Amino acid sequence: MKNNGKAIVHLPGMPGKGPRTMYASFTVSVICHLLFLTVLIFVPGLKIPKRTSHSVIHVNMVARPAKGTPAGTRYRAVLKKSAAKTKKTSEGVSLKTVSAAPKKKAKSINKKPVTHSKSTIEELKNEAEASRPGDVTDAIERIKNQVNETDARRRSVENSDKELAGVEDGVAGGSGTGAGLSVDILTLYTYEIKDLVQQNWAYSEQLADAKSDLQTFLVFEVLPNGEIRDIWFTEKSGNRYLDESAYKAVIKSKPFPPHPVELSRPVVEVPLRFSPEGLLD
Amino acid sequence: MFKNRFKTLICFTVALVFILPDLCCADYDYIDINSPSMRKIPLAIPVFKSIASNSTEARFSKKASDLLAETLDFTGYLNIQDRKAFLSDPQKDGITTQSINFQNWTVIGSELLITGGVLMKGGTVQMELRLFDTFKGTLIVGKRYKGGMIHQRQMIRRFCSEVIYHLTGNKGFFNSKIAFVSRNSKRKEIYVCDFDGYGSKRFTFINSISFFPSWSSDGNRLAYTSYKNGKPDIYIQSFTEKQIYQINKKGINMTPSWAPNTDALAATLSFSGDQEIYLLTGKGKVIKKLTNNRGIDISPTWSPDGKRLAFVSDRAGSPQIFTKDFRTSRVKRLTFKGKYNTQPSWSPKGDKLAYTGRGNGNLNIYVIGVDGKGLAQLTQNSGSNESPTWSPDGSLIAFSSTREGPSRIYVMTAYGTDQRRLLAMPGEQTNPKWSPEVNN
Repeated sequence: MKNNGKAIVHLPGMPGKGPRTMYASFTVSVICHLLFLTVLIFVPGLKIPKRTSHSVIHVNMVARPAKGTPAGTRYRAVLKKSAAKTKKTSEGVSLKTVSAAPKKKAKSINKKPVTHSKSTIEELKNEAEASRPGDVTDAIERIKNQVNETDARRRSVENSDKELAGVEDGVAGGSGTGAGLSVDILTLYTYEIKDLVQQNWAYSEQLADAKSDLQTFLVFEVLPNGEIRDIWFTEKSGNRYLDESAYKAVIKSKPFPPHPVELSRPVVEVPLRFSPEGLLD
Repeated sequence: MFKNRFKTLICFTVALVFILPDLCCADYDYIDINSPSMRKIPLAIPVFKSIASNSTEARFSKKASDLLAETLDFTGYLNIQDRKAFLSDPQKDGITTQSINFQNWTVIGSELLITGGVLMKGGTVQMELRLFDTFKGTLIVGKRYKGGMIHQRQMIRRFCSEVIYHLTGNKGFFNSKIAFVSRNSKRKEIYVCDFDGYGSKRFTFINSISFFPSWSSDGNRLAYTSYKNGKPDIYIQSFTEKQIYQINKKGINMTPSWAPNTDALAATLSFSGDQEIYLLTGKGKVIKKLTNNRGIDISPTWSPDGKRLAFVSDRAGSPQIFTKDFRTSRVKRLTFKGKYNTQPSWSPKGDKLAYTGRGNGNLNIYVIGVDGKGLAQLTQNSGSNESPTWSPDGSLIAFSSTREGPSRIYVMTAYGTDQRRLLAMPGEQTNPKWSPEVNN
């Protein structure tokens, strides 16, 4: 064997086979790795969220106050109205699809149901009804405005070429039922959830030591019946009080409204960014 | 050729290794929530449990739980929930972690819960108080107090201090007092009351005009200005000793301000013919001159670390607030908006100053950062608002206002919210000055 000043590495188990064999083995190995990595890229659902705390929540509390309309009816109404209002609505909403990655199976913690007086339940129902948006049209307008105010809109516009072509056609025609329409309903649904969480977010600048640049990111999964399956922080603020207040806001808001019937998903992920910046000038 | 392919493969692999994590862990499309619906934290305080279950104890329990609710409500950042909404009665269910069904509290939105138990034996009262985090179902702090019935307020305030300490990390203001000036006919005397306006007592009996009170760091002495001798002189008076020290140099002697954690104070004296601010001992001896500028320098206030002083000066042509840094001897103008800015008060955290400013003909309370940024008007359209003073924890500001006609003392949060009157007395009340938090 010639030695032209190069170091020859003998792989274990292949003594004396020479550099050609080594290069061949190495090439095969690299190709295998590449194949594996390519599969990783193109197979969806490999996003592994960082779960720092509050890993699994499944607490049964009192049932959500009954609504005047059965689950899904409202969304059908929303659907009809949004279809009638041309494609503008669908352009204005965030179109990011939620990852359908398999999640760790949620543990179920059965807790004792709360028992309380009938009159109190009635009062709570009334309060809950009063705090809910009464008119579907108002709700749509409000959600549309909020959509316009966030970065989600910008991102959705950027992605719209790829993802929305079918949606626009479908909505404009009034008969579309494809994935795009589902995304539209999904956005309305997630923004309604966001509204509920915001209504329950109690935050005091004195307790948090009044830092306006704090923000905390969390994601939670909503099951078709409106229950929460899991909550996790993707990024904490470093301020314990803000993190806890965001977590409590989500828990206080549950159970959420059931999935709209048009939304055929096993779970809806709702990613929220809490920031007290609105408190201070 | 083989070598080139090999290099290409290596480069491709390295590139993938760096790009892949970003592709796999792309960010969620977060929805922003940046305006909480509630600025106060929901706190449930059910009526305390009467342990012996007799009527006297029950009455005391109700009174004590109401007092606790009122005292914590004063903070401005806790929302004391209506007891009608409660689904649980501690009198029946118990007051300890094991006996509380926390879901009964979280379902009505309570984030915090305080339970209490009262046991009266002879002339003594034993009170157990516990603060819970309802979502975690954990005890945050629990205390047992024992004393006479007359110590009820003291016990409640001590527990309030514990609550605030465990929630915010500071001691709050429940052991602090407020000095103020009250005018009856032509006389103005200094009075002192608790932080919540309770138990006001007359402090001076000069039968003259006394004003501009200032607390020493230990809370044991007040310095103030009085016209007892026909001109403004400074008096230093203790709460415990009878001796009163005077600073009665030629000319005017006024607006004293105690330096933090030392037995010294700054005040404006004019014995040199010009109104300058001097540093004086607690007995009135001049240590040194702190300002040196032709014109009026008045109303000094110290930064909490004692390294800077803010004061009012007319050196710019109108009364404006300036700061002096003793490390560099540099004097800097702080206020530029408006032609009349006076009565500065340095916040206990050291980052802001509150002051009185005139805009559109009315006097109002403003807050500004020590760097001159973040100017905010805290009062408006409510008469004349003057003399801001910070609570020891920096969460509240007391001030005087004529919004209801005669001048009264009011309190608001440091953000200008929750403005309410502190106390009602005959005559007019002005010049509030909040004491340090003193352990008792």
